[in-house]
Amino acid sequence: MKRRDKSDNHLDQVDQHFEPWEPNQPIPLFVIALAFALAVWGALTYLSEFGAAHDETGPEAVQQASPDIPEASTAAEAQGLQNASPEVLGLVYSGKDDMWSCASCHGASGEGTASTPRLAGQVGDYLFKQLQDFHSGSRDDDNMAFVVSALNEDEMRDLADYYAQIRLPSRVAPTMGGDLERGRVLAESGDWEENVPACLQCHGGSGEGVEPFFPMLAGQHPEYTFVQLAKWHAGARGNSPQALMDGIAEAMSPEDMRAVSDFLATLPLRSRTQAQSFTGPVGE
Amino acid sequence: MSTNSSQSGGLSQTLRRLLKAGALGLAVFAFGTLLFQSGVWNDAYSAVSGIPKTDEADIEKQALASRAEMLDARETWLADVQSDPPKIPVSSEGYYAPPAEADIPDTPFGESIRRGRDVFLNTGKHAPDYVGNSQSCANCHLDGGRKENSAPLWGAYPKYPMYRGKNKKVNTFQERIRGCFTYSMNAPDSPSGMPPPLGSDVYVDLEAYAYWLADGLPAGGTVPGAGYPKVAKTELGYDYERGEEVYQANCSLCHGESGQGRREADGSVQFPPLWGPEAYNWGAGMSRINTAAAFIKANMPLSKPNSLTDQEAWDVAAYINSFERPKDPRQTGSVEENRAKYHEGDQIYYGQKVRGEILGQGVSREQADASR
Repeated sequence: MKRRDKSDNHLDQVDQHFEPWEPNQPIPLFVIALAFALAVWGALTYLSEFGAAHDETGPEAVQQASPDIPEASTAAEAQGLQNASPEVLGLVYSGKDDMWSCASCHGASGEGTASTPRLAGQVGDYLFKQLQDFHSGSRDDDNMAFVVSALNEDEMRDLADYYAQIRLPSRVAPTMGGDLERGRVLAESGDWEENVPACLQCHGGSGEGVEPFFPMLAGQHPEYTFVQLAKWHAGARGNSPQALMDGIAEAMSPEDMRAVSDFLATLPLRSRTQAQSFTGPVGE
Repeated sequence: MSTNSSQSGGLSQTLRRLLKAGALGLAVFAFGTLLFQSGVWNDAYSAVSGIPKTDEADIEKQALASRAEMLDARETWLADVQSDPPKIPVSSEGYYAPPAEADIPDTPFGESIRRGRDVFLNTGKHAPDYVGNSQSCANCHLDGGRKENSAPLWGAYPKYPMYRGKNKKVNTFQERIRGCFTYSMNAPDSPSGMPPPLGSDVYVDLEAYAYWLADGLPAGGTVPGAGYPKVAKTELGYDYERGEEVYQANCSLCHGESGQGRREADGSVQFPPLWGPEAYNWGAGMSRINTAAAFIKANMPLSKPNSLTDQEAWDVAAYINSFERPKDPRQTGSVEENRAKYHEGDQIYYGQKVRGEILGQGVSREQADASR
């Protein structure tokens, strides 16, 4: 009986005018405010990145700062473009069966572009090792893994030697908006508090590489250099001997990576420009 | 709420609300930015996660601030002897912080410092008459003689003049560097056949560089980070045969499979040879296995200090020092006599039989050329 009474009471309490549809509620002020705050943050971040990359050392500024960057086509300046057998030149310029050619991405003289590396004049043994590493997967890159799958060991060696003997002046300039003075310090003296040795301590006094393991850095596209440092920093490139570059890049801040990539792009690339000074790989 | 007037009122109310939200949003953003800038967030993050705070520029900033403080205190102390004397400038790691390269003054003194630095970094190029191998000062004193635990110049300079057991007399700093030229740079095999004479500009410039790096330390005793930290003796002792494996895995990339270093295409030395005619001679401190082990453990491979175990450091130091190198310039009689006179009790293979040969006969550039 008691229970009944209770439910009777409930029935009495039902609001006869109850409308199940809630009227539109205004969006809480705080949510809008949060959206505003995020928008401001995003806009400022974008602007600062954009500004850093283009304000001072944007493409136009760079052209003005270094008027000696050759405008002529690379093929006219490059030496040694024909120094290979027809088979190798076929791989370079036409590819193989369905496989695209080296030149289709790396340019007619191996000059590369932005994050596609320059190959011209690179240390031959280094190039050969990279091709092998793409093949084995120890250096992870889908495009290169695909291309390399069509090559045998001899072709890899021939291609590496072909690109190593090409002589081509540096065609790059800073593009990353890095602090060039900081880049110079890192490249020439390092940052030993962070256990970052000077780049040039291993990669040659002028950044032109040391046979057989240390690649040329001068003349390389700053975008490419930066991307590789960032990959090591993030643990996404794993084929540095003794994981040396992994540790070094990990200790570098993004600003440092930009700075050093840009500074290295200012190096003139002297000895690897002239065919006479080339003595061949010293690998022995 | 459904009349016309209240609808237009709603529109302006919406606008007002948006404006209010915008202002609040800016305030939230400003608050967040301030919070982040203040470092509270960093503190909280490191406290919760247990990951130590990282500030890439921290060490350098602190070192610079610490040095500026010292310079200020110096001035104040000169003016008022009752004020606090200057403190030693240190980095956030606690080691003495030498002045930055950019602080070299633009004076004749500064020019001398720069010349000294150049000799230090590339000795064969800037003091060619007195270098008889392919070594530079900076090969064993990293970061141009600045790095702690890499026998920094600032650790050595304030201690001279000092009595040394090596020649059993009080040595000036110049005499100490003369020792470096005689043994580590193998001056007897240099074009002049000897180290720079005392008083030479080479010493004066190197002294200027060392003095400048040490400006801020008191003269006298040993400071933390000076020299190479000793490596504890291991149960197994050292063994050059075990060391070969360590060497090939960790050192050969730069120093070559046969220890001959690597050169650039133009012939300049990129990585110094570790044995043979182009290495330090049998009188150099580095030819002692304990010294080499200490240097290696704290500094090698570059960028990976202390990555080798004590045992590996001992073994690889033994391996590197188990080959022939230029002879000890002090040797007048036989190797055995010289060992008794100068190497008794040292941890060195000099005068001992290794791989069937008594080491210490020495190997010179001439011999190497002749055998080619």
